[in-house]
Amino acid sequence: MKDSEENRTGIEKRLADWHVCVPADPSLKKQVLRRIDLLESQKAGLGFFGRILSWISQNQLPAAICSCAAALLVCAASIFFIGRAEHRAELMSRNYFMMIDPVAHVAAENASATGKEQSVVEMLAWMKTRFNLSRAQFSELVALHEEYKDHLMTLYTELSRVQDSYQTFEDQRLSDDAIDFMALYDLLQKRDSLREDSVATSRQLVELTLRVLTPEQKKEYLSLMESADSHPTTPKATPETHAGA
Amino acid sequence: MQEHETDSDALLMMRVADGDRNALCSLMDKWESPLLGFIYRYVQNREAAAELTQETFVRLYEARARFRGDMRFSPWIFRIAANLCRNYHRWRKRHPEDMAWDEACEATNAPQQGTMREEDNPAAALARRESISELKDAIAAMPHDLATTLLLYYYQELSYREIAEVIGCSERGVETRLYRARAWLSKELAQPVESRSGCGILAAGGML
Repeated sequence: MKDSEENRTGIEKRLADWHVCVPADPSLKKQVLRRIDLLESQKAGLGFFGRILSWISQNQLPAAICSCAAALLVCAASIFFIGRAEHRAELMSRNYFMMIDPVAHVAAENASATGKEQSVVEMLAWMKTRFNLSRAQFSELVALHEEYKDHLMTLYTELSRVQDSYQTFEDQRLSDDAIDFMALYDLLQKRDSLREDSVATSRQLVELTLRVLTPEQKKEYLSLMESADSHPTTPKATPETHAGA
Repeated sequence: MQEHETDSDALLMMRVADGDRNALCSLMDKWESPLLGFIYRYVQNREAAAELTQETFVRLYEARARFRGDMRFSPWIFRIAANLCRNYHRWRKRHPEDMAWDEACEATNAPQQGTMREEDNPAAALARRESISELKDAIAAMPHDLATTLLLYYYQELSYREIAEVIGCSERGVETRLYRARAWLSKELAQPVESRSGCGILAAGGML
């Protein structure tokens, strides 16, 4: 490094020229001790957590440990809440497809709870964020589903009743081996008819829904519908009476 | 700093860590003047220097649990003071409206600078005041690390090792900072003292 001796001496002389004479503060000790007393009394008044915080602030290792623990806690909470949000979104979409498909709804009822009764707006809320629906699309879909809701609910109720009746036949067969085959046949015929009506209604609703959606949204909707349809918690409610039913 | 002095200060600090207020008073007796000198040169305001000195001792007490027996006291206390000075400097930059008031107060309360008998040579006294004023401005404009290194080395006579502990760098780093600080001053002080003719500045410096 080039630091010429002449230059350095010049600077050092000028530095040596700067003398300061600041008088000492006669009240320094008193002021410092008063402030320390104040701090101590504040800490004493903070209680248990205050003392812990104070101890942490005075010691580096506990402070570092506490920082790490806090960071881990935040991460765990984030993961937990993100996981819950994802789970909730999945549940909402599954509930939706149950609602528009009474056959699957009845079938799934024994396997898992489908949640409380919801309004159409609540039922479709997940679609708004999932498909990034516009306000107009959402309103149209709500109106469309409102139109079909009652009929789908009636079909679901009827199918549930048929399912219960079928269970009664099954219980009777297991207990006394005496079955009214004609009544059973009628029941299964009724069930098939209800299923056909359900499938037709669901298909109609899906087609109308797809008309509201954009191509990207359609693709996503169909893919979700497919995964909901193939969900393992949707067993057959009653045995088939004929192929393709 | 003398080694035995450092040891005794470290012992006093250990007593402070055990809650001994008398030990703290002993440290205040011994370190008030060096700290005040350092802080005043850094912040160049008497009121602020007094307040920051007081704050340094309060912070010292608050951080007492972190002081270990194998540490040296002077870097420890100057580190606290230097950090406070830097915070004050930042605060002043963010609050320029308060600077005018501070400067006005400082002009009326300015401590006596130098010990020469100025009445003997008014021209020399004027040149000397100007020289010191330029020096103060140059130091005030210096980056924190350079100013701290310069002030601790030339006015507090701390060793490279002690300054390295204050700044948080190597001894070689201190050497570099000192070089850069002197280069900064050379550049900022447009007219070196030696080049001034007829003002008797060199003579005045020699008298000190």
